Amino acid sequence: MTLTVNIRKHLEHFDLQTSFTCPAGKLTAIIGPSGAGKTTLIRIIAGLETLDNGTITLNDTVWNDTQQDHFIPTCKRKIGLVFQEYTLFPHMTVRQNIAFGAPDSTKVDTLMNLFGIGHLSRHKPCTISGGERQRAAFCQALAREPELLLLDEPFSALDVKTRTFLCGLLSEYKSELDIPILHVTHDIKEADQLGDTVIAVENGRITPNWLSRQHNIPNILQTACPPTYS
Amino acid sequence: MDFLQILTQSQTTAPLWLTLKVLAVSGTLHLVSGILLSYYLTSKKSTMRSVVDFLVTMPLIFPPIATGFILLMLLGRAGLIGQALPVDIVFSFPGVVIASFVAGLPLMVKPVEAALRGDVQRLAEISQVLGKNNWQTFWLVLLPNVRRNVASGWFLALGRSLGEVGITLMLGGNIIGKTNTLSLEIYNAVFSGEFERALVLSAIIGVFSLIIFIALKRLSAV
Repeated sequence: MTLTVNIRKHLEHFDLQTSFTCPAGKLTAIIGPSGAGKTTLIRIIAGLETLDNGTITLNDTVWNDTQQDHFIPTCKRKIGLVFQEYTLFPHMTVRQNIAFGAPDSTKVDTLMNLFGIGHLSRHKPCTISGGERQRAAFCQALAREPELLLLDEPFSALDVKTRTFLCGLLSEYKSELDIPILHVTHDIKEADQLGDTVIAVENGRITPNWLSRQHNIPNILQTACPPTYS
Repeated sequence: MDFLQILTQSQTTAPLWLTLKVLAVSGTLHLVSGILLSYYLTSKKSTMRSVVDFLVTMPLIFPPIATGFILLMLLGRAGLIGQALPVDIVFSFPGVVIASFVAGLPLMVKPVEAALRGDVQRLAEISQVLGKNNWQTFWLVLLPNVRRNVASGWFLALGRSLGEVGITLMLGGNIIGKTNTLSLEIYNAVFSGEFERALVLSAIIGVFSLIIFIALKRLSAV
């Protein structure tokens, strides 16, 4: 299963124009400064925003094709999406939140235990910590049994302990999930640690030399198995 | 003044029962149509949506007596809509209900519309990502999260309906024993010099208003 993106959208200050593929079982990290168009890219892939031109396909399934006027609505794309801020439904319990989009509710408890929140199933989101909420958000996204996992800076508001735990889980299970994972971040270290491929985006375009302009790039290149940079 | 004696007089009880019946019907209409209209007004911009928005908002900014006159022209026996209807709307119970409904509708719709346009939009996106269509998202996610706004809008609409005079006067006709609501009966009592009865009627409305105020306070809407 491979995600293929070739899109163009006019934004207020620049055109978001990008083309890349994201293979199954691999995590593609998208990094870049704030306002580079990373979140817009994720939202377009999720179908939450329209694009001016281009195509988005997941294997043989065309989600967007502006030439054919073809658009698959968000609810029909099997996506798992985790945002930076906690987005659990406040009127539901943690378990109800996770089971909300799950085609098979028997997997909900397994996921909750895996993420260490099995004991919180009857709690409302407002009664648990931020880290626990983000773990629940991951469970919610994975319980959907997605064909594509989109992560929009999911670790940036977390404490070090929760961030390490979730990064570890993601590293461990990304190949087991066997779906394309697109991870937006502005943390180069995080992109390096998790990404099999790293794409740098600046002003809406893939900018390979953006990485080399960052002062901490030498540290990244010291990793034992560096990802592919583009 | 014998408060209890005035309270039990048919001149007092009849308008009271009429008002309660009107509030029951228009309150139900407010709840159902108010929620659906609020949701519709958050849809994509269109000419139809602008027209509906204008019609819903109009009673807030247009004088009630003039609104009532326009409705009288439309719903009267010779009116554009009235002549096509099988029953008489004006100077009858349905006329009073319509007056009450029209007056309270914007106070129900506008707060709910504003709430639906707010932070809950992010929850709606999550719901769609999790595979729910627009209607499922509305019933399962949006409505439960704006329920306090729905409740406070509903109480505001009830309060406005309770005090409605201008439109009711035009559409209902203030016919004694038939379309004279509590608010109109206060006017009638003052007009005929029965100040004590006007005071008792005002006290009844005051109790209703206090209940609505307490409800709104609990919902943190005022």
